[in-house]
Amino acid sequence: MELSQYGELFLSESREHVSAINHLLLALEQDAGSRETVEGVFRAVHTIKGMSATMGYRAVADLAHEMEDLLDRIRHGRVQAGGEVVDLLFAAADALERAIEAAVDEGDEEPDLSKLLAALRAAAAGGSADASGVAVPSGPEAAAGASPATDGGAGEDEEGDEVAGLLAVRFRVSADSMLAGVRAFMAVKRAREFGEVSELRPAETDFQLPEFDGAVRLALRTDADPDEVRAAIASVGEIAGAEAGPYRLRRALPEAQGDGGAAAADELGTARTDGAPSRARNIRVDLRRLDALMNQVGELVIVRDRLRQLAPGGTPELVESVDQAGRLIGELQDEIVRARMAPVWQVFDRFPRLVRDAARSLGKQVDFVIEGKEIELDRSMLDEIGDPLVHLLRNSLDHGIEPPAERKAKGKAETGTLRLSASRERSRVIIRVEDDGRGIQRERVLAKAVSSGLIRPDEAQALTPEEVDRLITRAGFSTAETVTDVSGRGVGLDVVATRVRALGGMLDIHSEPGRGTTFTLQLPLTLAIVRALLVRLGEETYALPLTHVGETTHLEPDDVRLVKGRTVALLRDEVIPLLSLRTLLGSGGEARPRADGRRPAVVLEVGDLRVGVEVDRLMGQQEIVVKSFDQTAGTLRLFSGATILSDGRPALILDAGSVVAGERAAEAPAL
Amino acid sequence: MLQIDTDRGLSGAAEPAVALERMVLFVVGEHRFGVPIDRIREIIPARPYTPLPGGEAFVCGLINLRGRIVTVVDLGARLGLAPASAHPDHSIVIVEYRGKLVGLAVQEVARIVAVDPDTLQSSAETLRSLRIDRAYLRGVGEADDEIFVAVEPDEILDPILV
Repeated sequence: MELSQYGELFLSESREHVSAINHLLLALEQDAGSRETVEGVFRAVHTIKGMSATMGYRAVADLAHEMEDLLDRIRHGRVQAGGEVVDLLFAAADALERAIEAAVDEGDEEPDLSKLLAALRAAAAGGSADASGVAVPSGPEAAAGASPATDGGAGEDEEGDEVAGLLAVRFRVSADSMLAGVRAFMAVKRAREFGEVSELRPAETDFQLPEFDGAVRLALRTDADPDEVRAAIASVGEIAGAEAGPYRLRRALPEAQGDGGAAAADELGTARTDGAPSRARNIRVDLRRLDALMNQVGELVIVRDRLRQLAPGGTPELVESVDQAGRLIGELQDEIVRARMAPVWQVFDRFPRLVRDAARSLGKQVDFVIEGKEIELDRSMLDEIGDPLVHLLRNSLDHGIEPPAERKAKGKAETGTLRLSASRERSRVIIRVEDDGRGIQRERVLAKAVSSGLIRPDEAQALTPEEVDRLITRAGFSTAETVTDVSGRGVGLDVVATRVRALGGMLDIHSEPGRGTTFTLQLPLTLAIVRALLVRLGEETYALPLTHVGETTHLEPDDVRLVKGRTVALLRDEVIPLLSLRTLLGSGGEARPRADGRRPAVVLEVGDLRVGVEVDRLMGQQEIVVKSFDQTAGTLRLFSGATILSDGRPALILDAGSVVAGERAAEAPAL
Repeated sequence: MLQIDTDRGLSGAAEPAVALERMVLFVVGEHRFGVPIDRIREIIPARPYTPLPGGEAFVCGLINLRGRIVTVVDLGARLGLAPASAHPDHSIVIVEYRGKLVGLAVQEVARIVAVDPDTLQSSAETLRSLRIDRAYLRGVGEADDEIFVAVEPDEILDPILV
């Protein structure tokens, strides 16, 4: 049991290292001469070797050992990091990842690595001046490498990978300054003029304390020249020394070095701006524990709402206490939501490798750009968006970006650009996949949609370009003329759209012929708690997440008409389709019209489609905790989850996307 | 009426050395069904169900089990017998199913018995009289002159849950 606990820890740490290795190899491919990159790979492999040896994962340690050997030769210039060698290292990194998974998952058979090990040995021997005896890694070098404790001296560990656009800045206020705190403030202010300051030690508020010794460290996000930064800080006056240089990530220190580790953690080591692991000031918490906390807080939020309903009848003291408790519960909820946040790079980091491989196999040249890596999302959401993003990236590579010759003929740069960016807009996170390829070929999409029976030819005439673009997210649609292993057949954008909707998000498509296509995912920050509108149908209550609720209304009898056999609602000067929740769900018993004849309805908005849904009663808004439930085979696929109401009963959460899906299919262009 | 067709049959059941399997017996209509006790998480009294629109007739709906949402299936209706959940004071047996929790509505909980699994009869004759799909049944057992049918919860739930 104990060991398996460590196994999980080993797994998650090793994954980070493997991800870092893949990253660095990509960099190495671009710049074969970069010693620093080789050093980075070497260190990551070395760390994995040390950890796996400790855990007794022989296969992993052996493989890491051979990789280390080869890398050692590369860093000493004895082997050139040419294309074949880098490919071999990529293959080894993949094998390493599989070996790690297999080792931790004890049931798995150990993979046969003999061929790869031999290839690594051959590569290491290939460039060696003294080829004799290299094939058997038993020389003094190998022996030293095998024991992590004696290897990797302190001098070498000091240097980590540089982080682009980030400077490490230190300065010291003269000991004889009368106003050391003020000087320090001014110097930090100067630094801020260059860019964002983080990891300020000591904190600004501590500058005025008697303990402040005048030494200040900070990280500065800027593209400015370090010398310029240094000069600006020195110009404050009474600065005894100022330094500015590239910010280096600290390598993860082995557990055994307790003191060293703690000291290092105190250094500028907290940054997790890149894939490289860092253990400073972070603790690993089992996600299940966070889930449990989130659930509990969810229950508390429900109790809070219930208390708020009951409180107005009580004494002023009670009302005040309930108010206060309510606020505290809200803050606790925010805090836990924040604790669950993780930066998107944890998912994005595996994409460069994937894009490289896919582009290669398709014979395309792509410049892959990632922006907004540091944007945070709920951990569980993060786990869910990986696959949809892979689909989108592959789709862009496969259908968007043209082969080099075609691009050249069109007067475009031969190398296409694929941009993956994350940004935060109020309470939503926007993720974009953007290519500068050929754009959606609408004639082909239409022809395909008609031939596969998705739409009728006469309907095809009336579709706007945007509506045509949306066809590619319909189930069963795929235009790839040849089925490739890159974007596959038929599985793809419709799956992406469904998944994104299930997450409470939206997928938008924007395409310009010849210029490229942009897929935009709008996602809520967290999955677990959402504001929802509660509606009543017969005896049952249903929840509708507010993300897709445009408005609620009570339709007058005159507002409801029958147009071409379909029920529509007149909403001010707008005509929208009107559905009945009773008909959709086939439940709720007999409809009992209200005495005044008015019909309560919710207007759902999905993309640019607005659809009215008639219900029995509108019950108001509430925060609900989204829970999963086990659907039975017959259950209508209209629910994204369930929640528990304040009376303790479960209620189903309607998925707006699925509710209007039928409407979208039937959408009459003439309407 | 019950034939003993294995050597270990009755004599095995009499010896304490044989690993006995503990089963909980439930009443559904005139039948008694047994479910291995290690599959049962708990047994709770009936509570209001939230219906699953479109769900099969034997699906009772959802219940709240201390903050967890659990789908409940009527054991009687599922086996083609009279629905157990029609009784207002029926019970819900919470069983573990492929890492999830699922409820089985039963009319009544009878008692716990210890049986030698090898003595469970799969005699076609006995099972045929039940008119229940054979796949759901492990066999017919006898405890203290009471005959019961051991059911296979996974087989019962597999075709239903997605």
